[in-house]
Amino acid sequence: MSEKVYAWLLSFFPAHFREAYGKEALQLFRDRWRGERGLFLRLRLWGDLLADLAISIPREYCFARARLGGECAGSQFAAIPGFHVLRDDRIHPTSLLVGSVLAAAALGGLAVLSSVGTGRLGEAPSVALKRSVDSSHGPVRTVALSQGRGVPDTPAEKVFNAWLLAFNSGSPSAMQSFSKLYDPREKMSRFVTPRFRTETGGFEVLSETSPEPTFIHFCIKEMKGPTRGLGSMRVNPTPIPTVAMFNMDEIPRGAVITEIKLNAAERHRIIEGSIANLNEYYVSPKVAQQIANALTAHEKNGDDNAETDGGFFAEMLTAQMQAVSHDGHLHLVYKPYKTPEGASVGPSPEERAHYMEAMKRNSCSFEEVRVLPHNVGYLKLNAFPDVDVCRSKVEDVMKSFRHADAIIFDLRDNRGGDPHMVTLMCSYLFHHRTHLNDIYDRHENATEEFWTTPIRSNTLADKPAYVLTSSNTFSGAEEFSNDLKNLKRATLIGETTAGGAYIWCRNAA
Amino acid sequence: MPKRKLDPLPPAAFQILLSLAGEDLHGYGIMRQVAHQTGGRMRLGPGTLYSSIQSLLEEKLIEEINPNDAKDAEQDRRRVYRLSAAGRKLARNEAERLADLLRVARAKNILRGDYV
Repeated sequence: MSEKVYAWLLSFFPAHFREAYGKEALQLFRDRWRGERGLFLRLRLWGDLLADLAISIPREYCFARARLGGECAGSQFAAIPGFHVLRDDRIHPTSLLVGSVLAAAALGGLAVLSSVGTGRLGEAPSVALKRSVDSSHGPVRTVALSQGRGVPDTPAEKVFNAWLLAFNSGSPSAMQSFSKLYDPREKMSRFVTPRFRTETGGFEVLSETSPEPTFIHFCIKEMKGPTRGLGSMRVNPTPIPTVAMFNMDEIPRGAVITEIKLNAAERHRIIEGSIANLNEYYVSPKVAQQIANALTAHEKNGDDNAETDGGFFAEMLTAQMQAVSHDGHLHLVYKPYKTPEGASVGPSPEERAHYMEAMKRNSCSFEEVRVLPHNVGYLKLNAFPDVDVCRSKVEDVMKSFRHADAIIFDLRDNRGGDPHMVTLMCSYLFHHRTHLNDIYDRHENATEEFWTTPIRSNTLADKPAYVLTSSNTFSGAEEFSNDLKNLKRATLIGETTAGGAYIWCRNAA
Repeated sequence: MPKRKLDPLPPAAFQILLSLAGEDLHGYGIMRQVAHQTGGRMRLGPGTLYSSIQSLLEEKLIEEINPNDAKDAEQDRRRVYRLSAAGRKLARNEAERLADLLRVARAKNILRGDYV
């Protein structure tokens, strides 16, 4: 009798559970019924069983629902509606009939509503646009205003406005469309990424000038913070203008922007200055001489004559130098501003505070930290930030992998950073103090050695490590990958990295 | 296949893993072993037991062994479960986590006496 009652109660479980474990559950009941005799034990058994049913039946239904919903969602294309079957019983014909009638009624209602409401819906964007124009005043021209100004005057302005619109929208598809249409040669690829959008919060225009139809010079400010950027863009005069050159740099705080016009004498002075710096500081004197020869040859050929914009001239010389040296770290940077008198070397307290705040905002460049199935720790790190600012964050992250059986460092979007941070991260992979590499300063004839420091209660030192690389992996991230590879401490997976092992910085007048 | 909830590891699932640490058992055997190791505090009902077993099977933390391996005739009709390497590792991690917790509790003088 009791067994029949329990069998009946079992029928309340969803079909998938009954099929898989119905017999087993009944068998368990029989076993317990045989084993637990006497009034007290039998009462306790029924208490256990009823409590168990009350908890398990709803849970099994919830799970069946999540499973069916999850499978549907997984196989479905975004934005295409679909029906999810939440019960695993066979669908009754009456349900299908009722469903069809309801769907037809809903569609009919929607059709009537849309034909009535078309006019009203069409007005909405212009109202929004007006409001944004009203709220923007003063010298700051917001994006909404530039959108409302109508057709931009020059092709360069047109592309610039299109970039701002796509970028500020934050929509990856809008950014992709922009790149496809206006930037097929990917001159601006660094400035059209959702990540850059998240870091800056978008840009507002402080000033812009377009002295030629195909050229625009602009000053913009990030919306998330006080950082200003100065840049220029040159476009090809095709029916649909495409980006020919683009550059943009951060302006240090307190800097005064100066107007610089490039002429033949100024260009010559810059080339001479670059060669002198290279000969004095570049790590390999032989390569420095090769670069100097290339620069002189280009100048004699008249390759540099046409360029009057400082930013593009710097880019041109950078390309000439990198063509010979294959050193991704060798850049000539154009800075059309003067830093305040007495500015010290290194960041000011304000810049430091700004940096710390920025690091806090983007989790010290850790894009993702999680433990994957099979107990594998995974971290995606997009830079090696200042070790003094981010040490505790790194400690927290590595502590979260305490029980991991392996660790993956995803450096596919990592452009490098502080070599001391590279050392700190490497330290987690070694029990003992280990020599990673050296940085040699030719000018000072000084060598800085980088050694790992053993970390207390670290459990990762003997766990397998993997580093994911890409052609974007650069500088400090290459050093990290290379150190671990040379020490046979990690397996590298991915594309060959970008190539920037020399660190070199020298200000020319 | 979506995951059933095993993270955090529910007490019933942890107890089942522990019950299988010593020997391979069928459902009723697991239930008795769990009752024994918890001093009778946890008596798994069929719903909770098989729901947990299903989750653990899906995550490959336990495995069903071939009934032909079973010895006597009665066991022949029943499904017998064995702890997998992954299951043993998970149980160890969970135990370590609880040990950490215990250390903290001890440091904070929450526990009395010397029985821990």
